[in-house]
Amino acid sequence: MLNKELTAATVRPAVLAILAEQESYGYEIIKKVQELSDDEIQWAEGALYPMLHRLERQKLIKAVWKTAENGRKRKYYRLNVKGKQELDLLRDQWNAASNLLGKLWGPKPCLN
Amino acid sequence: MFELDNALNNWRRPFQLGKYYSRSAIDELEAHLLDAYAEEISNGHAQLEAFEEAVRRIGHEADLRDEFRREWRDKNWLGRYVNRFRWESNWIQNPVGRIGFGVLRAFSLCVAGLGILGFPDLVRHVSGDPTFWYIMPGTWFPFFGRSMFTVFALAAVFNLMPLSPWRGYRNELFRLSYAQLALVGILYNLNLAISRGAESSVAVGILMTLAVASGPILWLIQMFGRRKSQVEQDLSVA
Repeated sequence: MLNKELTAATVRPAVLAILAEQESYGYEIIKKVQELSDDEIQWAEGALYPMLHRLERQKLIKAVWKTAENGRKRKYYRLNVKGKQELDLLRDQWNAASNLLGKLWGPKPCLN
Repeated sequence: MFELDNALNNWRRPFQLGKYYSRSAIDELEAHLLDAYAEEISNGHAQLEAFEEAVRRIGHEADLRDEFRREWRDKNWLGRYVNRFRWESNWIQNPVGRIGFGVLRAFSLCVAGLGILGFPDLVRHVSGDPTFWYIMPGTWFPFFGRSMFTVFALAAVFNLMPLSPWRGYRNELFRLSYAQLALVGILYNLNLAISRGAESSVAVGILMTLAVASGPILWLIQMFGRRKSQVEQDLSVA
């Protein structure tokens, strides 16, 4: 299970990456994260929404209310062009961090 | 007997009373809660148990307040202002009452705007006295002793208190200053209306009193209404 700081750090890139695939709503985003991480990452469900609103305010994502098949209204989010650029930037940064840690923790070359 | 609508209303109430939640945000949280509730039901939980588990997952208002407050603080002044304007009336259950309060609040802000832009002309017109604004008993009103326009300009600024960039005690100080100014304004206008005795002065006195007092009157309505609403909420939970 990821610690609190690392979990918080993953929210922004993970939300943008999920929305890059298709438009989605809060509950579905949470479910997707749980499924992809095999429940290793547990977000506080209600706390996702301020983050979504912040991304919306920063014009990285766009929101629209739609009526689902069961008749209930849901707020769907999708990525903007600016959001795609932000996602690319975050991906580069996380890849750089991942490469560094991979080299530090990966198998060491052995001369014997 | 568990009733979903009642349970939802009780869950929503603290959010409606809270300062940092737009109506849309509460609706969105409720949609999430209902999805979680449906999932718990499909997992075989009884209705009450499913609802409690769904609430535990999404969180109570107290659990989410810090996150929403942080988001609210990051908004620009206009966003905060709109949010504040909505918040002021969202404790009122009746939609007609909410609209009524909104109209009164808009009136109070309009009067404040008039205070800066055109209220002197309006009052001069009502009073029929071209020198009205330049006559002030200096000893009676020492701080703003030049013209009532000054009082109005200040009232207008204070009427826009949701725009206050401060938080916490400084905001409260701001409101207190407004209340003091309003009180002085009301007393002055009463004195003026009585001393002049003319019908026009009474009309002007009423207009000015309304202008200066509308802000704090609405603030008091809101404060007591919100408190009453909170007490009702506590009783219903108990």
